[in-house]
Amino acid sequence: MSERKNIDRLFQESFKDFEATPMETAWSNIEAKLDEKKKRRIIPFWWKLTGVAAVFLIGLLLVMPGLQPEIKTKNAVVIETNAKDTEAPEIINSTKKNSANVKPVIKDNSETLVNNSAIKEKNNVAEKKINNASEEKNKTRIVSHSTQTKVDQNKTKTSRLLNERWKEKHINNWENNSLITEKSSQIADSDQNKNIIQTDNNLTNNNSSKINKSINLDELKDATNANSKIVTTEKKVNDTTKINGVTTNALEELLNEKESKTKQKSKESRWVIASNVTPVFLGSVTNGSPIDPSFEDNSKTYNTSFSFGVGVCYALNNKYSVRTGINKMSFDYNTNGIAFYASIDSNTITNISASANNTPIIVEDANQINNALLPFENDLINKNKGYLNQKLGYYEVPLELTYSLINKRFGVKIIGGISTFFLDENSITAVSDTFSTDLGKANNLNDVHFSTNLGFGLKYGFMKSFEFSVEPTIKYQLNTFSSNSGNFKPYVYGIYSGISYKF
Amino acid sequence: MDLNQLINDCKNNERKAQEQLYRLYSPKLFAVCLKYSRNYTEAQDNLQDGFLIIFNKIEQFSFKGSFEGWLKRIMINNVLQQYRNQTFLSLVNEEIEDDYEIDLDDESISLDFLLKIIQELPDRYRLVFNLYVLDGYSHQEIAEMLSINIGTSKSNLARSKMILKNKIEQYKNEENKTFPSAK
Repeated sequence: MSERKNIDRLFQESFKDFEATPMETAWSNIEAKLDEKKKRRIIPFWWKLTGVAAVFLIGLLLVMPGLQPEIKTKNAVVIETNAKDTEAPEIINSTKKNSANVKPVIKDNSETLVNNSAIKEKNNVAEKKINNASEEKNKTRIVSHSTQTKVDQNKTKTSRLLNERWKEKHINNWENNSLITEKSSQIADSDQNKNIIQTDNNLTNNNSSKINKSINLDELKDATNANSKIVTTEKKVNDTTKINGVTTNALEELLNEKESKTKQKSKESRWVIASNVTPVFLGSVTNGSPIDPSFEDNSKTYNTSFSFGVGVCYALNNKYSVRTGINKMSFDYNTNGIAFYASIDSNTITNISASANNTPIIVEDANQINNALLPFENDLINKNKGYLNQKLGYYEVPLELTYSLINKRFGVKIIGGISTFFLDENSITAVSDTFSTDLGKANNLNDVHFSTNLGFGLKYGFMKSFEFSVEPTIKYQLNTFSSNSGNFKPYVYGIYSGISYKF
Repeated sequence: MDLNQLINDCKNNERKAQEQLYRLYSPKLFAVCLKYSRNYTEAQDNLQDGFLIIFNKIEQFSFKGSFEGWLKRIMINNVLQQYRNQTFLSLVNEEIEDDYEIDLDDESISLDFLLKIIQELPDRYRLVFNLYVLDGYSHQEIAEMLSINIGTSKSNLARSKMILKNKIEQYKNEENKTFPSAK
């Protein structure tokens, strides 16, 4: 019955009208997500802003040099490595070595002492000296005990060396002593000798010093010295165990000193000299005219000009620096839509004092009809339409304070301050398509005026002590005009860019 | 209700219209999802994601061509996208040129079984088989959609058919064993 059939066709036919109803939850899920999306539409607006804010904040936090926790963790790390990594294992090793090394030495010492005494001495004095020697042995045991508790490897080494020396000297001393006692037994009592040995310190005061030879005395002194040395080293060792914690502090201090030195080094270059070239954009907060009130409504065109200058900057600390300098700055603007013509009448412009040799020129708003003249008269007079160009040039002496937000190779700072402007150029020119004529000077400009400055600086250090900086700064002019400013409130916007040299 | 009106309402984000559209097309689109997915749950996930994309992009539908075709393409692309995100498509492109016909005895085989063995195919075999055999895409198109060679597409198809055929035959044998009288 079965017919051979292509597998493709089998599936195609089977799935031709294949439909399947999904679970009812599918739609509710979709609906829920659709609702979610509607709500989300508001969120991204804030989301983006918070993202920017977060990035800004994180950036600030990362770059702000005054961040305390970072420094603290660094110090903690230093202490830990010193205490645990370097010293601890050595301490254990050294104490182990000491306990192993010192004990046999002492035994040898006492044995040799005993042997020596056995061979060379056969009298009572000698026996007492053996006792004495055992006393000394006890002493060395005490020392060895203390060395077991010793911490500093170097110190224990020296004490070991001292022990060995002490041993040698005592052997010699012992030999000498026994010789002396042989002689002294002939001369003096054994009791006296007892005193000599038992009370080492009193030995020099003892009468036996007179009896004994000076050589013996010296050697005994050496012995006592050696003893006292051991004691002192013991004390020192004990001290070092106490001080151990303190030594890390000393290391810290060293580190701090180093750091402060490097800081001081960086502080050394406080002075910066800088040059700048600046495109200057003049503008006015209001649309007034300082030339004549009648031009208040005329449009103004502010021309881009340049300022250049040099400056010096002194860093008060890492963050703040003061700076001053001198810039030559000139700016000009056009008052558009004016008409001017020669006239026998005197100048009507209020704020221009005409230059002496000029023929009087009437300047008026081109849009205003001069009612004084009849229409045909207007036609007769050859009026030049054009604009008035007022040019102002100043020497600027800024006094500014800068605050560094970032002070690395790349830096960001805020600049604020005032500038004093000394008037240098002052001219007003009437310009038409065909010609221009000098009208004279503005008589309402102050010779000296001030501005308040606010800027934002970016710098990039290159080579060792050179920096390139760009500082967009706005300088709001305070009292440019002595009187009748015609509601003209100018500001200067400059992008102060230049190269500075630190020394 | 007029389909165009329904689409326009969906463009205006009207929930009622969206639901109606869903009720209208979900059986067909869920079938697509079932064929292209590994299992039922994955198919359901793909269906949900696909519908969200559809409601998002419905504004772009310009009433040119079949709406159902458009929906289906979105659904298929959505599924493919799931696999594009995985790395399996960048696996070695094998090329075996054996595009031979595979014939089977004509017997009614349950759709459920056929669907099951499709879902059991390795991902790429399943996609290629579905695209070529069930949805009529050319090897050229499939190669572009899956960023593989045409040759790979062909060999994948052949292999998927082989696997399917083996499974069907195995299934039949088992059926005969359990119900010998059925023959």
